[in-house]
Amino acid sequence: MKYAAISDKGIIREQNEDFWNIILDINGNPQAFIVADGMGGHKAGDVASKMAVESISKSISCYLEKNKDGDGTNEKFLREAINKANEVIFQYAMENLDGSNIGTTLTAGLLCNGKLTIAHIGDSSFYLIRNETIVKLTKDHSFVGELVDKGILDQEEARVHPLRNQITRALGYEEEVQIDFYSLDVMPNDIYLFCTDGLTMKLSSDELLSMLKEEKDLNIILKNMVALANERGGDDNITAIVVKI
Amino acid sequence: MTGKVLNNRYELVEKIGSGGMADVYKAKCRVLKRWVAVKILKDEFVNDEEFLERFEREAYAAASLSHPNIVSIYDVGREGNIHYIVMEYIDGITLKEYIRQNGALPWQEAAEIAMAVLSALHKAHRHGIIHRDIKPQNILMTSDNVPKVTDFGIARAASTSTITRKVDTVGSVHYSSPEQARGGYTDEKSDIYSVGVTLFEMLTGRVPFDADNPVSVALKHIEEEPVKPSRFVTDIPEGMDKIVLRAMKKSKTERYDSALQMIAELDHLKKGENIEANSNEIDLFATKAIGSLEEDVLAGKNVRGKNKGKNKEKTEKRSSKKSFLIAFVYILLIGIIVGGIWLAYDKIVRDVVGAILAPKKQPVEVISYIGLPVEEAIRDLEEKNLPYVEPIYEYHDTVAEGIVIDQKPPAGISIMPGKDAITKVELIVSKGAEKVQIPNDIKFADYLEVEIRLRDDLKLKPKVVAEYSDEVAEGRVIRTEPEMGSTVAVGSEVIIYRSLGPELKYVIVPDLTGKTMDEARQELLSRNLTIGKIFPEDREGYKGKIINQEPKAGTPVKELTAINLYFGDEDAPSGGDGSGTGIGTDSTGGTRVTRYIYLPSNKNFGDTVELVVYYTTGDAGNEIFLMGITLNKSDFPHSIQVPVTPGVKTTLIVYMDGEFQYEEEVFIQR
Repeated sequence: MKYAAISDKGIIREQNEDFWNIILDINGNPQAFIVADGMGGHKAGDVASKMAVESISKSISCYLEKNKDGDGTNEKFLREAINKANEVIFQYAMENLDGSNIGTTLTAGLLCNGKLTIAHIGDSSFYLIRNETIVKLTKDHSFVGELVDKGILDQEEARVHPLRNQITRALGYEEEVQIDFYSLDVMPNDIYLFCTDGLTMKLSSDELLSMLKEEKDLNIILKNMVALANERGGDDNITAIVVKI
Repeated sequence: MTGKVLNNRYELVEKIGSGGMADVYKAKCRVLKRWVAVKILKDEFVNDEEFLERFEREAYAAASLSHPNIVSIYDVGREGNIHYIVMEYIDGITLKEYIRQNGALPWQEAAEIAMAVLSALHKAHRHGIIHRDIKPQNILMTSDNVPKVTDFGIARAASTSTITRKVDTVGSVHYSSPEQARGGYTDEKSDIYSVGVTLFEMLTGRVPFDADNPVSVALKHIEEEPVKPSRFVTDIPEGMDKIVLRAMKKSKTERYDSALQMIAELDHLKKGENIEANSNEIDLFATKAIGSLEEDVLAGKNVRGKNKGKNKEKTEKRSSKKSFLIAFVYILLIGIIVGGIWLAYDKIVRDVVGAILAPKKQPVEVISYIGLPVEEAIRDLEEKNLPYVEPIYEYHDTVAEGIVIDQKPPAGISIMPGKDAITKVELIVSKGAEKVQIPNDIKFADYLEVEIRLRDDLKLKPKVVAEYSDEVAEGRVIRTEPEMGSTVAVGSEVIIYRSLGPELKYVIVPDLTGKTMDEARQELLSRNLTIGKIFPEDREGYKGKIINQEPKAGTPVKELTAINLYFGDEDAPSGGDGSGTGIGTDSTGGTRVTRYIYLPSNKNFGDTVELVVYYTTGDAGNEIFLMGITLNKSDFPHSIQVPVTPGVKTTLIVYMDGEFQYEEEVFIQR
């Protein structure tokens, strides 16, 4: 298995509010992947994403320590870990931010027993690349994303819609959070891409696929993706993790 | 923020509201010694320069609007990172709150509030300003029940922001038009739709479309037909149902053409109802119109207070009617007496008596001519023998040429007929939209400057469309539609074509290593790339295989980019530069992985643990200090960031409370 990650603040923003993590087991093999895109103002924009990644990483790390290969309840465990992070962030905002809310997107994958379990909230994405085709598995929890699902807007209309940055779900924003789960069997030669909307707003899935096919070095692929997103405006933070089985 | 003084002038006293984009404070202006409302932009927007520019521009444009039903803007400013707008302080509540307190409003009151809001929009639309976020939360009711519209132009500024936000679950989406939900082009008619929804809510106490999430609400605006308001409140007249449903038509062309047109229909409806209610009294001597609403609404008068005044007027009307009847009886009596002695004074008195007995000229009520063609208005005035002056012609952005846009006195006032009567009817007639010329000299100009010039100086509605151009540099104007130099109506749309520079697609550099010169040439040509320098340079013919290339395979480049080729055998650079790669290259160039430090379970520690970590790189590296920290036991496992080089083993050496605990290897594949 090969993997790489990149996080870039883009060329417009002053700070990087995206966070990511790859959690390794004791042998240095990756077991979990997380990307998070924070929201909540220039003082607190990175608070929720950082807290989410830290809290969930810690939970996963403890879980893996106790259940070396997972015990088939990965979804249940992830749900608990995410609910806990939600509570931590929500409480923090209540106590420290004068009532203003903060939140973050979250797309996380837990690799256990030959299965990849994805937990997803917001408009970051998980892509599966298998047999030369790319599929975006996660649905955007955004105003325009849901209208695309309903067939009201097409991708291009969604990309220029004035409300394109409004998400309908966020971790830590409210007392409770609704989480989408996906599960897939890990197959040889699979490629997994976790990324924030700084990448998907600028590159189409066809472009992502051809860049993943043309080059073998994962770090170079990620650098090229970031360079292209920045060349096309770079108005948002860009974060991506790529994993090749 | 309370207690802060902005720019040494506005003293923030109390937070009085909070919206999606800003917080509102009651503040004291130290210079003019008055209360003001200060709207302070929320944190998340203050780093977004494009948004701030737009926000200030919209605020300045809105500040030019002066109307009794619009919350005045006094000042736009910034102090450090605080961006604010200073506005008229309104001692009152929002219309949303007003509906919440009162429930469904009587339809007459709802109509009057809607007319006040439309009157404010009429003014704004004439100045080329679209509100885009009309909703009861943006309509304030003063303590005298005068509706005042706030937040002009803010919604438009918000749409340029790239900041990720949680979708607004309670506000705008319930009132926004189908075209706004789709992200389409918005104009005056989008505001009219929102007024229709607001009117629906005033009439029924509920919004027409509701659901548990904003996306479903938006879908209903796009797809579902609203039910008639009278389904919820039975005494709403059919005419009112029609007005609400027409304002809320899915298709813009089926809605009212202008705010003024909708005012006129609401006005007619109200008057029609009043005439019916009073039909058993013949109201010849109305001193003031019962329904001279248009005048009151356009002048922005309050809504509730007027109802009280109306009753007083009716009493006055009745007493003046009585005195007229008495006078009439007296005249009749005199006539009979004079008639009795008619024979004696035949010739002398006949004219006098005739004059007295002749029907006296009676005042005639002026009807509303607004919205009618001027010829029709004049024909009616002639028929009624009402005096009028030469119509006054004015430019109007939306009303067609020859249509009456205003009149004096307003409908309902009664005046004396006859050409020589003192009060004459004055008609203000549209001469269509004002014409301006699109400047000839704006090709190659900065598109943003042109956009501002067309909008602010020429009062046009510029719309920017980007396209590729080989001739015009990026960000400059290529052409306009209608073309430069043409004459167009004020308020009409002009498309500015902004250059994106020459159109070159991105292509991915193919892997050429292992290929021959011919194969490489074919490969590059097929992707519209070119061959750059070839190394080594002094070689005769390139018979070997390519061992390296620049840029590397997988790099996205613009078409026509030259690719340098390196052939084997000679001292060509080898592939891969090895720098900065590895897992998690962040913007600072560092490479790091997260590891967790565990508290060994076989040892006893106190409540706090002093943790020190060193690391070594490679097999023979020196121990390098990584971090030291004192932690609570509950902080374990503790995450640390380990700098690594892919392909090279890194070893962590963990000490706790001064004692060596364990070593751990971290290895990342290259």
